[in-house]
Amino acid sequence: MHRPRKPLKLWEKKAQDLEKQVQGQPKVTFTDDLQTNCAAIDQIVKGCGDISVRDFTIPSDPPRSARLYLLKGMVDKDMINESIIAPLTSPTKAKTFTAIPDIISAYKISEVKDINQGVTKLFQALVLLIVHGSPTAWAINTRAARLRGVEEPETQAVVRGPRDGFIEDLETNISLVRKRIKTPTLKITFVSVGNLTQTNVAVLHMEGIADPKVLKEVHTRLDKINIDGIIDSGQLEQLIEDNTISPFPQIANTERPDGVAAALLEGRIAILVDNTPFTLIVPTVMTDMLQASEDYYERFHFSTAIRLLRYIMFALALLGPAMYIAITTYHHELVPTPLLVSLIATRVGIPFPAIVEALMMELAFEALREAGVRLPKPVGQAVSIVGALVIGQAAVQAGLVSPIMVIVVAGTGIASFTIPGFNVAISIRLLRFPFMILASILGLYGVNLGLSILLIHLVSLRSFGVPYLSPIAPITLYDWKDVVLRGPTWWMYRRPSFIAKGNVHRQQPGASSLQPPVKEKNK
Amino acid sequence: MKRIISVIMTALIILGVPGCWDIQELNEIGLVLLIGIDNDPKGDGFEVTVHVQTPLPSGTQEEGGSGGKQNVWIASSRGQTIMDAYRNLRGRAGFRLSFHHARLIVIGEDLARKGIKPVLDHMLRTREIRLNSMLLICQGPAKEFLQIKPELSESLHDEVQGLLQNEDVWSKSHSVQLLEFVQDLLDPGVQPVAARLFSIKPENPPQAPGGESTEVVKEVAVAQGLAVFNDDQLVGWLTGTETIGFRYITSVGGEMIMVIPWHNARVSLQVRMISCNKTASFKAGRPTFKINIFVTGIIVEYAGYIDLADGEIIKELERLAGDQLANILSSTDQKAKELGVDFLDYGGILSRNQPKQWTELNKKWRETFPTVDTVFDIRVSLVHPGVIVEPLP
Repeated sequence: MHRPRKPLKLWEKKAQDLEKQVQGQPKVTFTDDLQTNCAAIDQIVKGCGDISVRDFTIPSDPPRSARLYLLKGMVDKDMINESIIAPLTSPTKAKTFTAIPDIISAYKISEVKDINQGVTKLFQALVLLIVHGSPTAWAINTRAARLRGVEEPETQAVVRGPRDGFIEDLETNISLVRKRIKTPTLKITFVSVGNLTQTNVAVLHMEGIADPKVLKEVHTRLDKINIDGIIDSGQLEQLIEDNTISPFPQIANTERPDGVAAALLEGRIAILVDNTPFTLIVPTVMTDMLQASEDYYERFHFSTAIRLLRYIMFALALLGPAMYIAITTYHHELVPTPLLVSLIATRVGIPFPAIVEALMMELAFEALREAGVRLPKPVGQAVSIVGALVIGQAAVQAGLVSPIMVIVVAGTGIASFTIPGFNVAISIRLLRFPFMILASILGLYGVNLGLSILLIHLVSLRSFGVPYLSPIAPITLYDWKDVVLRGPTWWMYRRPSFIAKGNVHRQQPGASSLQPPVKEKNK
Repeated sequence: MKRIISVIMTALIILGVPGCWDIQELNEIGLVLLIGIDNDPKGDGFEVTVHVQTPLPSGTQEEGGSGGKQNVWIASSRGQTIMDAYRNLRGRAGFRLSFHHARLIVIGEDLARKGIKPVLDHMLRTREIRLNSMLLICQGPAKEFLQIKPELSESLHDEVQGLLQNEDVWSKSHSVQLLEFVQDLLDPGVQPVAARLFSIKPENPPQAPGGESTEVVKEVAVAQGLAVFNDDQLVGWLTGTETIGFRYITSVGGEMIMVIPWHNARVSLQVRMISCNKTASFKAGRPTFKINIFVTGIIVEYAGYIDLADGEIIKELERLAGDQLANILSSTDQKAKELGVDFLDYGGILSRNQPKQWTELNKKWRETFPTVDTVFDIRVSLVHPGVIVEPLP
């Protein structure tokens, strides 16, 4: 059913026409005449105050006038002066040249025949050189690095492991990955997404390891995107994920180049988006969200213990308050007598039912968390102090909530922070509320019911064709070395089989470097 | 759309059907910790006494809402049946009584002598009473026993529970769970027993815990011995020593202290049962039971001057200990035959060893039991003479 569109206003129409023009529908090529060329470009970039123009004459025989278009603030001025303008205006050099690229000392220079293409390059911060009498223009790369440095990522800090993180520049980010995988089988394909933003997106995969079907699917989904702009990879994620309604994220994101490199080696595909440090990794399964890159850097005993802790905390974050409500309001018989006696004592004089108490505290906790995230850092501390006092002490002293509830809520809060994947942690935090309500209406039966529904949903989810609960739900036992357990590194000689479908051997089994040394018998 | 709505509606209806009912906030329930059941002294019904952990803090509210002192509400009520008595009690309580945590059921002596079948039926039929609750029989009315002020713990419930936990280290008491009692009741080869409680007046009445109160503890609760039942009727009591015999013959075992007078000094042995094998055979048409018991012990006290680190001396002590244990066991055996009640599971031994004869004896076991022979074969092994070997000079 099509709703009749409102007629466009005049300025809207104009802008649309311009867009169409830029996107190359009417193909206009450069001509010999500088004036015509410049007039055509000026027409397109009219009103773009950040476009700067430099006219000069090349003292060749006969002298030719030339024009330089550049984007202010994004180009290296010194380089333009020294490498483009200086050689071109120098009488000695200009006399003898045969072709423009020969005398311009820039590392990247390309010929542009189409005016619209030239404008596109101009907005990609390339310098556009138009010379009279030449039917082509030159796009010269003098892009200046106006970026923050490569710093330690704030979201996925590690104790042990590399400290570099992605930044807001695609090329730097790719180079950080390439630094780690120096092989021609690491393939990088560029896609441009967003009709207006023209955001560069790089798709990285290891040829021969990554599943070609998944790769094809990634490209299909990226090509299907028809949107005006992508500001962050988070938007891209929501456009290409399998189930957009599910609360669970089916695409992982990371700020860590080492995480991307490891994922690529497992046969996953990384999607790097320009202007954001967050890289998307597909396919992603539930268990990945409970793993941190540091797990692989620490020795396996500790990593296994930590993972076990995370799984317990995951359950606690999801079910903690719900179980408390269910047990204390329906199933008193489950609590050991001495504990129940002290529980009763702490609840004396609390005017609210347990569910109201829990909702109040959880809301207060979430509010505090949100306030802490948004506020500037110096104010944030004040929030946490006030919050700790109000929630921790004043509420208990005022008899509004029981101390046990404070413990439950605090424990749940801490538990939710132990989950490495922030995106799955927030969905767990959200799902806690329906579980609490179910528990207050139906007791443990309700909690079970909620869990069943959740499980059914999780089993039905897929991430780029890979079942979301792999390798647990379609069981592949030898992948369990890397789920709750983190096996010794020599033992994990296979890639996860549900991701690297064919080429699963990281190293031929039996390779000496990966196995504990076999004791030779005494001669 | 219609379909989705109908699915949601159906789900909502189904949700409500099997859910748990009904919501009970913790501060609205009274936790029944102890149940005492007696005959109604003024009629043919029952009198029920309960210890209820009330949600209200006792005394002044000094610490705000949290962690006030626990308050136990003791109340009795009468009714034609036990349930009737409970209901009359509920009329007095300003909160819902929860029986899930009533792990101790005390039954008065009079009611026990009359028969506790109505009590057992009620306990098994209702959901709220757990089958692993302890069945305890007190000498005198349960109502009076439940009035005893605890000597050490905060409540009588804790005190009795503590007493029952101690039974393994002295073996003079033995507690029986509701389920075990009922199983024994249904088994023709054995008669049930239950823990025996009574109160004594301590020689030096200690002050009540807390110090400030000048109230003197008049009576203290003691768990010692056993109540012997014939079917559901109490027929007699076992003393503490006889209870040791019961525990050893029925393979429950446990630790005990044995005092042996020897060469003008006493030797204390800490003895623990390791194994107990029982066989039944027929000699001249009479069932004969052979009970092999193996115990190990260590010497824990000796004030004499003889060096105990001598194989011969140890052997002599082992023999003396064996004789003493045999005396203990036969006193229990004798008591069972006097009462004419087979609470020692002889019928069970016979049915396992001689199933054919048991099918004949089964019917008249009650008459046959007092005539059976029992032979005790006791082996004591003293493992070591303690931390110091030689006596102090």
